[in-house]
Order: sequence, then C-alpha cells, then structure tokens
Amino acid sequence: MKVDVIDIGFGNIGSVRHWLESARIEARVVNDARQPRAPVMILPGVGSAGPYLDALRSKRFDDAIGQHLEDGGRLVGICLGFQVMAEHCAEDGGHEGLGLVRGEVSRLDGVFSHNGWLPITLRRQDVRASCPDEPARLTRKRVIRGRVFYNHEYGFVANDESAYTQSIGEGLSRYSSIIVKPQLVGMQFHPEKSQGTGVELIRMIC
Amino acid sequence: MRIGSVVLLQRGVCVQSIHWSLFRPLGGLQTVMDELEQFGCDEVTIIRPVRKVDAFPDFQSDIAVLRSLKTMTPVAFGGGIRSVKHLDALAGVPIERLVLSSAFVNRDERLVEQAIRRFGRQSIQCLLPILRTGDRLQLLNCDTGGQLALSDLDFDFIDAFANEVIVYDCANEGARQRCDLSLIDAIPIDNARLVLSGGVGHGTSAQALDHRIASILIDNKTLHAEYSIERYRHG
Repeated sequence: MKVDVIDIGFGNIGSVRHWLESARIEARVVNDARQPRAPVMILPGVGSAGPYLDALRSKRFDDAIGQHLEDGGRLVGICLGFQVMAEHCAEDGGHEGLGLVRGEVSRLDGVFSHNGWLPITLRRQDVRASCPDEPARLTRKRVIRGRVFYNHEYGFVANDESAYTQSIGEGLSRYSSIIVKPQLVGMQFHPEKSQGTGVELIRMIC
Repeated sequence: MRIGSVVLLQRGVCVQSIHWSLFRPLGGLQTVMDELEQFGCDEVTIIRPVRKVDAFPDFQSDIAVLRSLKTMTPVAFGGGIRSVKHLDALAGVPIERLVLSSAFVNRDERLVEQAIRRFGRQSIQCLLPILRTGDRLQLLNCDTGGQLALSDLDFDFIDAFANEVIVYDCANEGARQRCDLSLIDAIPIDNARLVLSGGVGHGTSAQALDHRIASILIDNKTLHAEYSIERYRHG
C-alpha cells in the first residue's frame, strides 16, 4: 500500500511519516498538487483552519483531492485535516470547508479545549466501510481497543447519514471522534501520536 | 490528567538540570524518547534551556536533531523561539505543540500570532519559569536573563493567546517531591489549563489531580532515578 502525505507547509509531517513507516506503509510527502498518485491520500492536521484552508486552495490541493476521490482514491484526514472535510469551519472567523462530509465544525461547548487521552474501540467492519471492495491487507484484527490522543478547541458536529460516526464521549458526545464513509476516514484525534493504537488503526485502514 | 516529562535539549544532547542552572549530560534525544515511550509517557515537552544569548545556528543545529526524531508520543517544543525565522525553521518537524516563554513575557503579539497561524492556538503553551523568594514570586525572563514580579505579567494576553500555561517551579527543579503546588494560586487562569513542572513526584500527582490540573511534567532528576542511569549509559 502506498500513501501520499499532503504537505502544504503546515503540520507535523515528520510525525505522520514516522507513523506510516512504523506500520510498514510506503509514504511519500507531496507538496505539489499535480503529484498525488497513491491510492490513499493523508491530510495531516496541526494548524489553524483559516490559513490551512487558504494554503490548501492556493496550492490547488482542493481540486487535487476532488480528482483523487473521483478517480476512486481514498482520503484520510487527521484532526484539522479532518475538520476541513466539513461544510463549514467556525475557526478564524468562519470558513467554507471542503464539503466532503455533511456537518460543521464549531467551538467546543462547555470546555476551553480538549487535550488528552481517551479510550477507543474500533471494529474492522466499521473502518473498512471506507473501502468496501478491498480486503484488509495489513491486519486481520477484528477489533482495536486502545487509547488515542486529542488536542483541539473545535469539534466536528456531523450530520451525514451515509457516514459511520463515533462520538468523543466524556461530555463531548455531540462531536465526532471518527467518521468513516466510502473513500473517507476522518479522525479528530492524532493517530500518528497515539503510540501503538495509532499503528494498529492505520493497518486497519490500509 | 496527563502525566508527561520534561526533556532538556542542549547542543544536541539531553541534559539534567537542577535549580535552573546546573546541567549534566543524559544522552541522545532518541534514546531518551524511546525510553519514555516504552513507559507509556502521555506527552514529552522538549525544552532548550536558553539563557540570554542564543545564536540562530545553535537553534538550527538542535532543530536538526529534533527533525530526525522518531516517536509516536505527543511532543511539545520550546526554547529560543524568538522570531518568525525561528518558526519557519520548525516546518515539518515532528512536534505537535509549541512552548513560548519570552514571547508571552515580552508581550510579542506578532510572534505569538504567527505561531498560532502555523500551529493553531490549541498547540500553544506558555511557559512561566517562577522562582519563589520568601513571599515574593519572581518570573525569570529567558530572553534577558532578568527577573520581574509575577504580578506584572499581562495574564489577559496569555489567556487570549495560549491554550495552556506551564507553571515551572525553578527552585525545586531537579528535586523529588518538592514541587510547590501553591504557585498555581498566583496564576489567574483556570486550573484545567495549567501544567505543573519542577520537582514533581508521586505525591504531587495526587495533589494535582485534586486541583484538576491538566498535566504534570516529571523533570529529569526524577526520570534519572526512575529509569536508572543504565538506560542512558549508551545514549
């Protein structure tokens, strides 16, 4: 399995690369929208929504992502890279998202921010919904149980009936922790910084 | 509550610091990080212990070490980030959070805003190195090497631009079980956004939990004892 990691000048590209290599996945960092060719594209996510979306559009990666999905490719979004899949992001005064998942990103209600680890349980059949026609290649595990790391002030409120969603929980139940739909996986947490659980998860996705 | 560690990075190697001034080499950064990850450390804050003068090539040299780091533990980094040029040097480095101290003490709005543009506010931590002298609480300014009264700090600015505040007990740094938890009473920011470091021990952990502190960072001295010098011998 080959994966393209989108580099628009934001984020912990080095961490994402190491995460993929740890799962023995061939990763290529791509900073030109004409370059992506791998079956899976990853949108990393450390940054601020306004500048991030501006950079994504000015470098024409919005079109490249659209074409990638049209060609049958898959997209994995991490944290901010997940949030920009929404129709609207409230951060930085409000911005139109990529509109790949119905829903909006809003300021977390009741807490200043959510920084820490929470348990997660994921079943293979749910995660594999992003690629129903392909068998899992890297793991035969049916269930992943572990903990994942969050660091965010905004949350994704999904309203997409075609998607599998799991909520963050712990007082943040209206916000999605993970969303899976055909060709798309979005994660609010940082799988690349979730130690062993993150590695198991990408093996299940790819 | 998260339980993490502070790792000091000086001239490309990790050092143990005691009372904010003495440094002993501990080994390579990758070795130290591998050990911490093995023990399931929740997060690691890597700090360059910069005092006053810090040449940009020295910063770049430490960033090169950081860039080659391979870890799946969340990393915050700070120390010597004094201009946009420094921020640009951090592009693509495997860090999730940014620790700024002088920028907040000096109220450098432009630098903090640029940091937020690149990393997002959720990633910004403000580090306050505090020294208690009798009843007085002094803040150490890493940029000038001077001190100022903690009460002179613009906490509204910090509240608006930082996601969390690291309260660093300089007097007890390197000691075990001596962290002065009362320092947090002087910080007019919700405890849920405070991170405590400097002399943190097992006892501190229970107290910090009672105070709803976001995280505690165990410093080098404690790690040194807990994981034994043997682990670092080949670092």
